[in-house]
Amino acid sequence: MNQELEQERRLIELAKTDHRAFGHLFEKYYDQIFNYILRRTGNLEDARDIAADTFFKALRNIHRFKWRQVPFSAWLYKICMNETASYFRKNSRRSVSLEFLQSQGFNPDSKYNLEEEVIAAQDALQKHEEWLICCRAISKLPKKYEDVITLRYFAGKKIGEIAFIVGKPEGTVKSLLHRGLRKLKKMILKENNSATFFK
Amino acid sequence: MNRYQDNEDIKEKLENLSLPHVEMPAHKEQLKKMLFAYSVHTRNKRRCYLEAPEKIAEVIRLKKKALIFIIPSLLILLTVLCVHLFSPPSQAMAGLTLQVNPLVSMVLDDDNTVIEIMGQNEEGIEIVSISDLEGKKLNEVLEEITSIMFEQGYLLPDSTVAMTVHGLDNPDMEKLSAISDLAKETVQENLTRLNISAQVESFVLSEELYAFLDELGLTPADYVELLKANLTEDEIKEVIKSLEQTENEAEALPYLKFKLKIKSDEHELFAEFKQKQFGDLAKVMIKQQGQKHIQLKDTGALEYLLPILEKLELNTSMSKEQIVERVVELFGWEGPYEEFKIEVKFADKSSIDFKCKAKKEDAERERERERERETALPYREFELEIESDLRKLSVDFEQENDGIYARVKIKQDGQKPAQLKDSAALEYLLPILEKLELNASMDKQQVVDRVVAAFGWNEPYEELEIKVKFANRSSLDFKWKNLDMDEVDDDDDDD
Repeated sequence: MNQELEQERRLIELAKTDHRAFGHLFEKYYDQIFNYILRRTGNLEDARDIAADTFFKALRNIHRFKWRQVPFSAWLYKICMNETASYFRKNSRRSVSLEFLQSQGFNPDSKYNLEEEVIAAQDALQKHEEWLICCRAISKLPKKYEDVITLRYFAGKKIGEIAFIVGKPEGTVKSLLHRGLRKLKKMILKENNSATFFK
Repeated sequence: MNRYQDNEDIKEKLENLSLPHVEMPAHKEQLKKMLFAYSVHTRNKRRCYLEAPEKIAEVIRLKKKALIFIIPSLLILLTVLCVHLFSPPSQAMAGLTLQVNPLVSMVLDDDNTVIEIMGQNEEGIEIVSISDLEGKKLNEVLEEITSIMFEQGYLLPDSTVAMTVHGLDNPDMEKLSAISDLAKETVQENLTRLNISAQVESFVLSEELYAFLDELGLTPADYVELLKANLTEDEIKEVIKSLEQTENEAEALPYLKFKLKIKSDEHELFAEFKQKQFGDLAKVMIKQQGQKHIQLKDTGALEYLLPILEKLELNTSMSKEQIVERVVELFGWEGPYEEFKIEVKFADKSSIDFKCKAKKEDAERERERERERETALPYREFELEIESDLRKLSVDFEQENDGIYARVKIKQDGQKPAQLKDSAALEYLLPILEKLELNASMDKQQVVDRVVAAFGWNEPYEELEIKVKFANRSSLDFKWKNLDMDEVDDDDDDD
């Protein structure tokens, strides 16, 4: 086992009883998970809620985590997949979101300004027009295609890791990618000017 | 022409897409604080549930309360007895807790002697059992404890040693501050000696504050963290109240028991889940023809099942069809089934229990449709060899009733031959074959042109050999030499 993985394994074991160790894991993976959700949903508010749900679920279930030589991030992505699906399906069940807690009076002091941060992030998103086109089209695909395409191209995951995350054999993942891309292309061609988009 | 041309442009687009990357430090900080507050709050509950029997946890809690109520009373009684026996009195003056991950609490007399020490979590119990510490001076005890923690691997360079001192029986706040300073200094010195760069924090807590934390189920050392996270007492109360509410809603899995079996000729899925007071039990078995069986137990099975069960949302008012549809979808069962059996007991004592068998002919028809979908390609067999001076490409593709066989070999001069098999070969071949659109009535030149273009063979080739059997039983079979355009074999037959 390489040193980095061994360190991570040890940190995870500690995190099962020590919240500070979980804090280290959170620090390490927050940006990656948050940005993946953001790239997938294209919506800042949804990304904030789903990221919160994902890390809450991870914290609640860290004691169930079993080391299998795969990075902790793969487990987080697995949770993230479920939370994303659940977030968009459930209407009645409340998400453990910061917004909800803030509405309940939770608003700790911070040197950062949340409102300014949101405005800056919204501006940044608008600069990526082609991603927005793809993101909108991907979100219309069936979930199985959306999962593999976003993991491959928005999170840069390899086939093996995607297979672990979505719980399907590698061959199935490849086939889903192939079919999903074909559908995506058709959808983009239908809704956009192909001459400029695929130039 | 590129071999993956079908998807190549969209792949290229996605690979080179300029993706947004935003940093959200405010959100990150708030979320971390919220996770932290949640973690601190639920720690005791979780520990009882997972690691120690309820009774041990109860004893630990009682011991903690004893620090405030019982020990001072006993010590006063002891003091009275000691006075009677002309022995020097030993009065509980302050309580000190030290937490890294192990949590240890101690009671001090007014001479800074440790008159009682106990571990407050499993690791803490282990630490205090290693050495006899009672009766020793505070600085000696702290030195020993931190050394033991270091030896046991609990003290790491990024650890924080959090200590709090609280008064017992109206103590002098100045004395408590002095104890806090002494504790911090002693631990700091020992860590320097051990060459550990961990952070040391020590705070004095009032009796009221100590009682407030105890009521919330927080250890005093947790409070150090909360202070560092800039959470006020009111904020802590708010977040804990809110989280309790949402956690109860989100956590409560409505199934006391869930048992499922889905079976077809080729696959079988068995899943069982039972909610127990001291931990959930789970078992999963997946059998797939021609593949190794997958069997999951306990943690592995829970990891697989819980996300599904959480999303399942079954209830007794659903029809059998709705239940089957929902279960099949969430368990990712693809294709027809022959047997479906489910048994669910809900927390409210209601239940679902039924078994259904798909009609044989329905299953057969569905399988037939599946096969048709798979065999949408018009080729039963497709064999191809293209060869040039430097390169040779061999393709072998065959569709049978029980599946598809595919293999692709590429030999390049001076390089190790590359070979694709099964799904990798299919991934390469399917897009090409789908658009190839050959038929037995085409002339050879047309066939060769299409094949060469579809396989992206841009260089001159010496020889091309192709054998195709179509689904309609017609076929193509010829060898083609390119150099002088001579046909060496001409047994093309159109059935």
